[in-house]
Amino acid sequence: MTGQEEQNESALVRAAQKGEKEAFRLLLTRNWTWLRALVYSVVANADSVDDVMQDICVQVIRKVNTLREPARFRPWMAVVARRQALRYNQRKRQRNVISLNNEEVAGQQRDYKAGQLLENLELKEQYHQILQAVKALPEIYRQVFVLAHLEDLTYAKTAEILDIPITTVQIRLVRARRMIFNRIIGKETNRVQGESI
Amino acid sequence: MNEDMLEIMIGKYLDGQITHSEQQVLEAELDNNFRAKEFLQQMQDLHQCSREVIASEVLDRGKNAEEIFEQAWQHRKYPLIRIIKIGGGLRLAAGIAAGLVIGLALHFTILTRSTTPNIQREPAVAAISPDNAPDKNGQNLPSPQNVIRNVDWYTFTDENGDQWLIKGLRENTVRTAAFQEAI
Repeated sequence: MTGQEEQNESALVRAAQKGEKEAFRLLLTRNWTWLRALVYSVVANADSVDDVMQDICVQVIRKVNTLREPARFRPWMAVVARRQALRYNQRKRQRNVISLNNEEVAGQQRDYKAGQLLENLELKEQYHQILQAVKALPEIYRQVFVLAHLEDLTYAKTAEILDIPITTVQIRLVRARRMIFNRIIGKETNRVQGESI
Repeated sequence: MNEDMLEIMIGKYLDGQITHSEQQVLEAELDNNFRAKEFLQQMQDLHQCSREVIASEVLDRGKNAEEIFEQAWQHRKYPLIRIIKIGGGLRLAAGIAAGLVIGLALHFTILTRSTTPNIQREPAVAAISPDNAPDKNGQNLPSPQNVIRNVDWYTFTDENGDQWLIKGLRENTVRTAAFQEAI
């Protein structure tokens, strides 16, 4: 984020803390894409993203006053988003333990539906494989992978949002690619050396 | 260049984060290493496909941002009935404060009751006697607690010619007084 953008966002945060609706709207809609990507990387289900996004909006509106440093709005919002997504997962697990098998089947059917954009059957299959591989990634790798592939975020911006060093972003991204690649070529493993990063 | 470094370089290249000098190193490696070139091609395909898959999953579905924001804005107020969760320290402080308030309330209640003057009911009719009668100097005035205010006095002569002094209270209670020969 450039200095000018940072100043603008900080000013919006201060306006939001005074309760200005327009400031909230701008803050949320400007960060919408990566926020959706982050939520998707946690819930790993496209149909659940809207519900979580609404929860996040409500939480941001209610709790923006607790943010002491307006310049750290993005990492703060990322934490709020991840927390809401995890809560959603938890609620869903409690609610749908019995119907889990049916939902998995439905989820797979929806994944195929997304691939209908591609006419080529071979590509469609590849599309499905990639999607399953992304969903199978450990969450920390999936976060970085989804953010990087959704919005062309720079490593620096991804690092800022996730509040991690840039080198960690690079390493996680390389490992995520490797894991997806291995899964697609049939050398399935989600374990990489030095996975603690 | 080892395999890990090659992957990092290719990753940077795909993400548009590679520097000029790094790109030169990568190109040199690709020229000399056929497997590296093949790997780059596979990674490029994966990168392109991943972008389409993720965009389709995340962006091409669901409601738009404005719509979700408006719904959230409607729900921004806290629910009226809300369970307040407080931590251990805060809970202890709240308990002490509540105990203090209750203690003070009890203390003042008891104090007020114990200091309330015992208003002895004045006999409706005071015995009329020279000792009791008000004298001019006021030396024999009854104590303030025994004073009956707003008293009307009446005299009455019965059939035998005896005189009675009647003390009438404003409460409309009239009772017989003691007979005194001296009056």
